[in-house]
This record gives sequence, C-alpha cells and structure tokens, in this order.
Amino acid sequence: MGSSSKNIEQAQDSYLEWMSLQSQRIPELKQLLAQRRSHGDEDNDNKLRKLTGKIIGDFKNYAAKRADLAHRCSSNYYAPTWNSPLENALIWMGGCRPSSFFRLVYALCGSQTEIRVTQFLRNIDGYESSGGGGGASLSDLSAEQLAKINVLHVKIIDEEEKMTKKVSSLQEDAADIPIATVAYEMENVGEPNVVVDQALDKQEEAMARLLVEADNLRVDTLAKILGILSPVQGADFLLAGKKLHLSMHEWGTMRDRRRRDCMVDTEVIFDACTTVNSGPRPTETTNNERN
Amino acid sequence: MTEIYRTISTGRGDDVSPTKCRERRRRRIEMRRQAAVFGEPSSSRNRDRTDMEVYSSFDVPLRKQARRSEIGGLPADIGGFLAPPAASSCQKSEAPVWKGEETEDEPLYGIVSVMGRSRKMEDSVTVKPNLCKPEVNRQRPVHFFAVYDGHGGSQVSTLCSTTMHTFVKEELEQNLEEEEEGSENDVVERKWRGVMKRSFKRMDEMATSTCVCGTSVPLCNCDPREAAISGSTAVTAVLTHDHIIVANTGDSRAVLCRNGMAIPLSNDHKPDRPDERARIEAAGGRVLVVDGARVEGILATSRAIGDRYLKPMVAWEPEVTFMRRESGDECLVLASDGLWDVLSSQLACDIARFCLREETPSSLDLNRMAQEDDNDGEQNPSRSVLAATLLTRLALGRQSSDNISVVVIDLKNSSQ
Repeated sequence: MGSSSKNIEQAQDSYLEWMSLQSQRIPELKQLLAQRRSHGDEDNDNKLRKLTGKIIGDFKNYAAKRADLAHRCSSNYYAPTWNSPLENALIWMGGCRPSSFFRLVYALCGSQTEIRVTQFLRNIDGYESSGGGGGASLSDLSAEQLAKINVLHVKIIDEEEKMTKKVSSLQEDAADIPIATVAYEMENVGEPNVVVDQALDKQEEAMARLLVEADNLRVDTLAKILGILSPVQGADFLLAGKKLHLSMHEWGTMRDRRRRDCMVDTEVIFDACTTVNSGPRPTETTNNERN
Repeated sequence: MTEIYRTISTGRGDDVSPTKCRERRRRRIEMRRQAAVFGEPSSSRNRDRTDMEVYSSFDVPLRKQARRSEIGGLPADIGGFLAPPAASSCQKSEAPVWKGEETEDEPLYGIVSVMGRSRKMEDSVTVKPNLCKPEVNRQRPVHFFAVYDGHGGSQVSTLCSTTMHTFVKEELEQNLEEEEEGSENDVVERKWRGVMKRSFKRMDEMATSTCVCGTSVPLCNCDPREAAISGSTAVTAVLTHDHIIVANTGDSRAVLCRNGMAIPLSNDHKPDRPDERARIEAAGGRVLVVDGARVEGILATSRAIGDRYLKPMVAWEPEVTFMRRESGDECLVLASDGLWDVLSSQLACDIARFCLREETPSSLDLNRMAQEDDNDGEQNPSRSVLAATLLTRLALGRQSSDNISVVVIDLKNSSQ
C-alpha cells in the first residue's frame, strides 16, 4: 500500500514537473520567434532547431518516466486524478491523440492563410493594411510540405486505429472469463479474490505496454512533423501545442470548479426554501450528495 | 488533299490577327532559346520520364524550377562571350524544333491532395501529360487531368485513378470512322464527346463488376452489400492546343478562369438539381433530405462511377463540355467538393490567377516561402503549385471537413 501510494505520488510529481517545464519553454520559444521576425538569419534558425530538439527531448524523457511508472500503476495514467474531467474526456490512451497534431497544423495553416488572403484581397481594392505580418509562419506551408504531412497523416491514423482496436479488446476482457464469472459466482459483491487480482494485474500490465506504445507513437509523430516543418514553423507549432495543453488544463479545472459551485448555490437556495416552510407543516430535509 | 488544303487555309485565317502572330513568334523564340540552352539532354530527359505517381509529381515543378533558374541565372554580361556558340547552338537546334513534339513543353500545373479533417483518404488525382497524339488532334499531344472523390471506401477512386486514362487513350487511338457530317469543328467535338462517354461507361462497368478485394464479383466471397456502396465522382479534363474537354460525373468541379471570370466547365450533380431529381424519380428512386439532399437518403451526389446498389438512380453518364481555348484563358482548376464546399468558383479563380500573374505584387508575401527557397521570384512552374497550395490552405482555414484535392493548370504558359 505504501509502495503503491508512492508510485502514484511519483506519477503526479512527474506530471507536474512536465507541465512546469512546458510553461518554461513558452517564453523561450516566444523570444526566439520574435528574434526571427525582426532579423531572420541562419544563426537564429540553428538556435530554433536546438530549442525544438530540446523540447522533443523533454517529451521523450517524460515518456520514459511514464513507461517506468506505468508498469506499476497503469490505470492511474489512463484516468489521471491530476487531470480535470474535461481533459480526461478528451484523452486517448492516457494522452493526446497523435492525429490531433495534424488538426493543429491544419488549423494554424488554414486560419493564418485566411487572414493573409483577406488582407491581400483588401489591398487589391486599395485598402491600406497596416497591421498583421506577425507570427504567421504556418501559412507558408508549401505543396511539398502539405503532401508529406498528408502521407504521414494517413499512416498515423492507421497506426492509431490499430492501437485503438487493441485497447478495445482489453476493455472487453473485463466482461469475460474469469473476471465476470467470478463476480457472478461471488456470494458477497466485491470480495477480494485471488483469481480476479491475477487477471486484473495481467490486464493492467497489458495496458501499460499499450501506453508505452501510444507514447512512442506520440513522440514519433511529433518528431516527424517537426522534420517536415521549417525551424520557425516547428517552433510556432510547438508554441501553439503547449499553449493549448496548458490552457485546456486551466479551462477544464475552472469549468469543473464552476459546476461544483453551482451545486453549492443550489443547496443554499433549497435550504432557504426549507426554512421558510418550517413551522405549521413539518418537512423532511433531503441531503444532496456532492458529485 | 483538298480537305488538307482547306484545313491549312482555315488555320491561316486564324493567323491573320497581328496579336496572335506576335504570340506565336514569341513562343517560337522561347522554344528556340530553351532548345539552345538544353539541346539533347533536355530531349533525353523528357524521354526518360516515367509515369508519375500523385505524390512524386511534386518533383516536376521542382525540376522545371531548376531548369528555368539556369536560364534566369545566366548573367547578362556573359551573353557577349556566348554569342558565337549560341549561334551554332541555334543552328543545331533547328532540327529538334522541327520535330515539334520532342521539344514541346508540357503544361505547367500544381497538385495538392490532402486528407484534411476526414479520417479516411478517399480522393485520388491523376495527371498524364502527353497521354497520346491522336488523329482527332492531328497527331499533336493531349494532356489528361482528373480528380476522383471516392465514397464508401477508396476502392473505386483508386481504380479510376489507375484506369480511366488508359480507357481514354484506347478510345482515342481507335480509328472509328463515324459519319463526317457537319463542319470540321462539329466532327471533332462529336468524336471527343464519344471518346469521353465511352471511357466513363467502361470505367463504370469495371467498377461495378470489381469487388473491393480486387476480384470479379462472381468469384469473391466478400459481403456484397459493402462492395455495392463504394463509388466515386470523376471530373476529367483533356487539354489540347485548341480545346479543353471536360467530362464530369458527380459533384467535383472544373472551373476555367478567363479574363478574370470563373466559367464553370462542369455542373455539380446534386440530387436536388431539378433535372437530376426528375431523372432519379423517373428511374424509381427517391431524394430524401438527410443532412442535405441524398439519393435514397444515402448518397449526396446524384451521379457516380460504381455504386452498384444505387443503380440506375445514381447514373454513370458524364456531362461533357467542349470549350475552345482563347487568349484570355488564364488557368483551369479541377477540385473535389472539399474545396468547393467552402470556396466559391470565383474566389478560387481570383486567387489562382493572382498566383499565376507574371508580375507578382510585392505585397503578396504569400509566395515568400517559394522565393526564399529558389532565390528567384519568377518561377512559373512553382506558380501553379503555389496556387493549388494556397487554395488548399484556405479551404482548411474555412474548416473544410472532407478530403481536399486541387489541380491548377496554367493555361497562359501552356502553348500545347
């Protein structure tokens, strides 16, 4: 029990460390990107390459820690208590979907192109365009880059689907022999059972192996996308990805808190009504359970 | 002989225009200049080129870029020294120029084809420059372009992309002696329409008799219902010196940009198009509105290659447009509905022609990437690619949710 508790604490600490590191990288990326915009040169490209390489290294290190810890508490990674419910609703195999990376590329590339085309068409009509021009490197994706990204996209979705099938099969195992039959045959629901523990240990171990595979796919996909993008495009992409990840955590936490506060308010109103009605007619007070 | 003479005479009639004479002279000069620079290596390079896969075709613009940048890179002050060799090169190049076909440029075009926000890639693109030199085009080369948008799986669109052009080629190389009534142009048009229609018919027959696993329907053990709902749209364009022939089945689209105006060369086959609805209902089918008008509530296009289950309501027969080329023609855009659902034909036309303009405005920094890479802003081959790229990126920005496939053909710089 103590050992298990330590593993979970380690997992959470590892996650917090990872999030903290991502926060640190944001100003570093911003600084180099700003420098690139003011005076683009080869040296700056090298710095960007170095920084994006470091960031891939960060991801690999975190994945390695997860791989180690997952073999001791894999289900805690599939539904992490350190995530907000919203984040957990959106994750796949304990992390982000690799195919989401492509959606991010398309969203940045597309929206930035829309802005620039709109500006350009206005210029044609004689309008003056004073603003814009900043941070729009992904709207410069070339045909060759789009083609390479598309080939990779098709391949990664295929890999993702294969992995999803594996985890589907594992999930179904929980409703099969011996877990389901032992539960059925038990006199008292939920009694400890050696056979079940062994089966669940086996299942969690399989889930741990899949988590490692999934993390490898995530790292591999990210590295390959960065291999297609130019240094400045890669930095912009990573910056957007980190901002999104950290924002989703804050947004999810905030939304959950707001929802809980709403429940508290409801109880207060209910109590007030009860007070008003007390006296001539006795009423039963119902306790609302939280969650 | 009399007919041949009449043809020549008619041709001369067209040459009377001084503008066209100047254009023709300019093209001849350009061809000679190119031949002078490349001579035999260029010719052998053309001969060695194999059929291009969709993605490998991205090498074509790059190769052409290299070729043209060599021309552009020749310093002017060295010209004097090259004068004597240039003269002899010109004389040597007389022979290659006379051959005509050997040195004629293929049309400049760009292709971009991406899965986009869909999780399945069912689109296919085929480009076959110099497909063949048929009699109907007086032994001059024709160029084939096509976009196929599959549904219910990629089997049919893949089959179309590997086979449709071979049918077109076979049909062109058959010398069917049809009735020669009417003017020469009418005869040519009728022949082209026949070629395209027969090719589509053969393609549909092949698609409906081939299972997803690749065997003939009677021989395979697959679930027949799965194979029966697989199909594809097909928009094809054949480019000759004088004409553009578009054959379309389904809701992909071909648009000609002429003097800044978008001219549709195809008309989307949607179930709620009045004449299509009438045809479907006459065939015993129904058009139901399920997330848009759909044949039997299933298919959002009213015509397609394949789709055995929905025959004969979902017809294979293409609508064919036979368009004479004009000097104001700027470009041709073929694309799947992943583009047209979010971009109007006119906007696509505006963007493509801006990308293709010779004097690119400095404010169009959208071309910066290509210029940075090539150190030369006058890369014509890259312009078609840029146009296709820009259209695709814009469609992504407007949240197209389907596969996006775009082909842009530069007609200003395509003499053939």
